[in-house]
Amino acid sequence: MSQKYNIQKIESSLKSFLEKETKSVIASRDTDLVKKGIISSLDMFLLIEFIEKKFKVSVDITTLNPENFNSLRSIAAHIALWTSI
Amino acid sequence: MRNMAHLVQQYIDRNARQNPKKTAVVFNDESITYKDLEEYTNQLGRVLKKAGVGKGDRVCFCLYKSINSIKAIFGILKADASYVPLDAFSPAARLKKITQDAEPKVLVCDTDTMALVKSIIPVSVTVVCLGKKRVDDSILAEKKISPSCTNTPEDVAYIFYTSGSTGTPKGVMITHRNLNGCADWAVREFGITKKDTLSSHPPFHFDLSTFDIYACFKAGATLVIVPEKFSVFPGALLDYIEHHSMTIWNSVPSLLSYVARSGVLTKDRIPLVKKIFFNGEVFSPKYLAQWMTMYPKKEFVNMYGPTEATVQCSFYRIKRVPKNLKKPVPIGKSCSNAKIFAVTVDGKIARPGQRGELYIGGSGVGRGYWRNREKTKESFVQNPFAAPKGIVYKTGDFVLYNKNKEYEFLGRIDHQVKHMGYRIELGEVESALLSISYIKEAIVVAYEKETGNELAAFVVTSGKRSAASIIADLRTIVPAYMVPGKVLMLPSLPKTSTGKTDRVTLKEQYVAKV
Repeated sequence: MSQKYNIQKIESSLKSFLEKETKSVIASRDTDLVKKGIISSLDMFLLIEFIEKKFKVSVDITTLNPENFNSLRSIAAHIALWTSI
Repeated sequence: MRNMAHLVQQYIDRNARQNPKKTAVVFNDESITYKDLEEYTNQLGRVLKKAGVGKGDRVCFCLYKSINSIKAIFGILKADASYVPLDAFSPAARLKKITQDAEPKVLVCDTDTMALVKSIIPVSVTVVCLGKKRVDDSILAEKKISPSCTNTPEDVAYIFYTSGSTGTPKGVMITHRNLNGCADWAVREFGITKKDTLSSHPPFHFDLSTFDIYACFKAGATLVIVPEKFSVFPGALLDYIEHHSMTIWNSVPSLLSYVARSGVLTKDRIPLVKKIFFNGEVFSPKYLAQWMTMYPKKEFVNMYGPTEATVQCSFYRIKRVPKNLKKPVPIGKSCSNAKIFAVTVDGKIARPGQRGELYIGGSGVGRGYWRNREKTKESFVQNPFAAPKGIVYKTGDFVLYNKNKEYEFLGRIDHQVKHMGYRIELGEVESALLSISYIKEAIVVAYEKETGNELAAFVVTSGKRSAASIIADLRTIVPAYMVPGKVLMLPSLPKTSTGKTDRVTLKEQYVAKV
């Protein structure tokens, strides 16, 4: 298993994408993006499209839940896992 | 105590007597019975009365979705006041405008929203912060019996603020009679009983939420509040619906479209849901067809109604899967608490096949706009026609009265748009842009996408600015759903021959660039 992307880089590209698209400021890697209302339902599709294009992975939205896909840190962890498989 | 049965808070009391152990409200793994809800709201009502609240007063509440929100609503009503919900996700500047206009005597919040609340109201307003030990103790020390009640059905139950074209949100007043008529119609029309479990998905500052609350409590059913977080995760949303055995779902179509697009719908999901209502905007027929094909035995109902006429004025039961995917389903016929009709451009009542502006009469027509006589006089007018008698509300919605004698929504006759179910006056967004020091001119237009309306702003700035910085500044003035997805900077805005800004050219230029 080789890690193609480094976590910090994933988080920083997610941060700039989300801040631009949702017109918000994400204070930290643990900011709860769902609770803060940063991700709305429509942004989620944009986010997934971004992840799929940028990291060349396939995301199954039906498997995601608000407990494990809600911060820069947790989303990046998913991406790191998907890209390493 | 007069007219008890017609004050909406009495729904809770009746259910508490008849079915005390029945679950009234659920939120995640928390729940409360009708008896406990009745007692707590009596206590909160007493505390508010002691704080000086009485008939004719407004009490704001600013809470994230929770059982506390329902407690606050009914506690405020039991103090004889009108409730004014505040969106905890809105920028402080907008909430300030609302509280300045509403002039509440008290503001109810909790420890999560306390800091926001403190920043928007003057110190003279009493704050009741739920969750603070001293406050909780004082509520629980009160008698559990109902405080004395002086309200009548003609008193205002709530004031909901909607987008205002001049830049200031306007408060719509709805009375107990208005609300009772709507709940009564919903329970009878859809056969809602105490065995039902209704969803409560829209946020409590959005008037669509009142349909669920009052229809549910009128019927003595159970209300399940859907946490915001599930709106983003369709799989988890369906799990939540199933976990709480919901039988009736009501939301804006954009959420239903999102769930359909995500591919999460399968035949075995949400088996107990019998009825799916949607309201607030046009449901893309493509996604409606996906839902109906997947669940042929569920009932799908398109609802229509502005805040000014108590959420619901007309409805349309969809019998067949839409075949024409470009034509939205009709908004149907009047509910029993409303009488809708269209007025043609030459001032006559539309006959089948004709188009016109939709007018609403009947018991659902609200009291008008809070402290805005001029605007009230413009939109709430004496019916110029023989029936229905009394005041009618001019919706500004353009409709077709079709050959089947049903109404079809065609669009707005002004600059109001719907985005994710929210009503947005483009003028309010423009005013917000113009309030930014470096913006000299601003025009906002809406354009349609498959998923609904999107907003685009065209601005002329003094000095060079980035779209991102304009968006960031705008975000501090209006809620996220009002911030245009695209901002274009132009050296000047095109004008029509009469000197007005040429919105059509802007829209065409913009749409061509997408």
